[in-house]
Amino acid sequence: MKAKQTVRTMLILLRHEWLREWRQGQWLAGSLLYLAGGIFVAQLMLRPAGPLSWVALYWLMMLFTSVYVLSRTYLSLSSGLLMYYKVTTPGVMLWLIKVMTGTFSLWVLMALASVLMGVWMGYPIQNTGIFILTQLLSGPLLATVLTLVSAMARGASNPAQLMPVLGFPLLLPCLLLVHRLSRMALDGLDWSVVWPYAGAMAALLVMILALGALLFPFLWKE
Amino acid sequence: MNTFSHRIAPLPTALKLFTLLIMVYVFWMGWMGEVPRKVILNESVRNLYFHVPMWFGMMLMLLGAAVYSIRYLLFQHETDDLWAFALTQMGILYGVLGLVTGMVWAQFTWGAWWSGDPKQNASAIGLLMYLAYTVLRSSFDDKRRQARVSATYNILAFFCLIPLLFILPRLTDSLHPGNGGNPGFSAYDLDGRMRWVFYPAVIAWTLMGWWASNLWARYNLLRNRIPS
Repeated sequence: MKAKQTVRTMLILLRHEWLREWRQGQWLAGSLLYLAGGIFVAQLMLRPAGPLSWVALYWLMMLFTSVYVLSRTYLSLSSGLLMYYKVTTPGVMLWLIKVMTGTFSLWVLMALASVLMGVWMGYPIQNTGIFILTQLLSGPLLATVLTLVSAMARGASNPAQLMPVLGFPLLLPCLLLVHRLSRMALDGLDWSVVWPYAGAMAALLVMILALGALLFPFLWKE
Repeated sequence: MNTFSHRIAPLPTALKLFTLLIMVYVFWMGWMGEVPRKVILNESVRNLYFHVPMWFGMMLMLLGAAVYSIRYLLFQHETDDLWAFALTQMGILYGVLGLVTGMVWAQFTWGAWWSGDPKQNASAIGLLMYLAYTVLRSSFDDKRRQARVSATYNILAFFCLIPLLFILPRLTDSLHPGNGGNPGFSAYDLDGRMRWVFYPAVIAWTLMGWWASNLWARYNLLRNRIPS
């Protein structure tokens, strides 16, 4: 019964979150334009780009875009809405919802970035399966770390500065793995080489999710 | 502020004297003692007494900072927060010293100050993480919020540091001793002479860092007591 109730609450929250995003459409459009504009400027300067710079540019753009997109999760909450959430929702559940929506928007942005860069700069990836696996794994990792960072930066005197300052070093271990996996996708390596790295990423994700679930209630207190 | 534990005890005098004593021994033996003569390494093998204990000390102090951060989140005592802050800052200092001593060593053995070795990269990233901690800490006006958020970040950073320093470097080739078929320090001291300096060096540097953190935490506690 309890589990059923929890799932129901989460579904309602997810729907609420989605509606809120949709009604503030300018934010969604803004994120897409941020990404597309960045890629366009970079391809003008980098052309003709080698495959290594393609991968580097792809993940740099995703890093900057994800910091930008996810800074919104807690920084943009008005104090009224924050109060409403505090009264109605356990903090961890709200955090999980934010991670889910963040992951989903990052996946959409990653797909868009692949298409745009494929059109403007060519598509050098030889094993798309590995590349998609990398994207699928890195989405939740970026979202988990950055929602936590966003919750930490809330209430600070310089939240916009704190997002990248805290986020970049925390994300670097993950990005090193992402870069390694993307290089494998680029060279079209065999799947057997990929699994240890994908496993390491999955382990990192599980660890950070568990840590986040333990630590988030302390950030949620006022 | 919580006034339950309002004092940080100084280190016992005997421990301070003991630290000084082994520090003198380590420096004397470190510079003057016999070391094995190896090609390329030559006298730079003495870095074992100064570079490696920096990393041991740093990891122990950062571990201590994470433990004090957990304690702060559980009990909200001001002293735990100040301990965590002081230990983190001393950890950063040791990290910088470890990086610098490693770079000097690398210049004379690998031929470059910075060669992008996985260990070098990982330690630079680790330092960035903890430097970000100091930025985070300085951006709150409310002391309790500052303490709570920085404790949370400190725990998260420590858990991100572990895969960074110990797992990722093993996934790629490194020139660092102890990696990819390069001899670690256990191979240098076959006659056990270096062990007699190395282990005391680790103890001495760690105690020295702990002592400095203790002083720093007590200084900050006093400063908090001054009405602004």
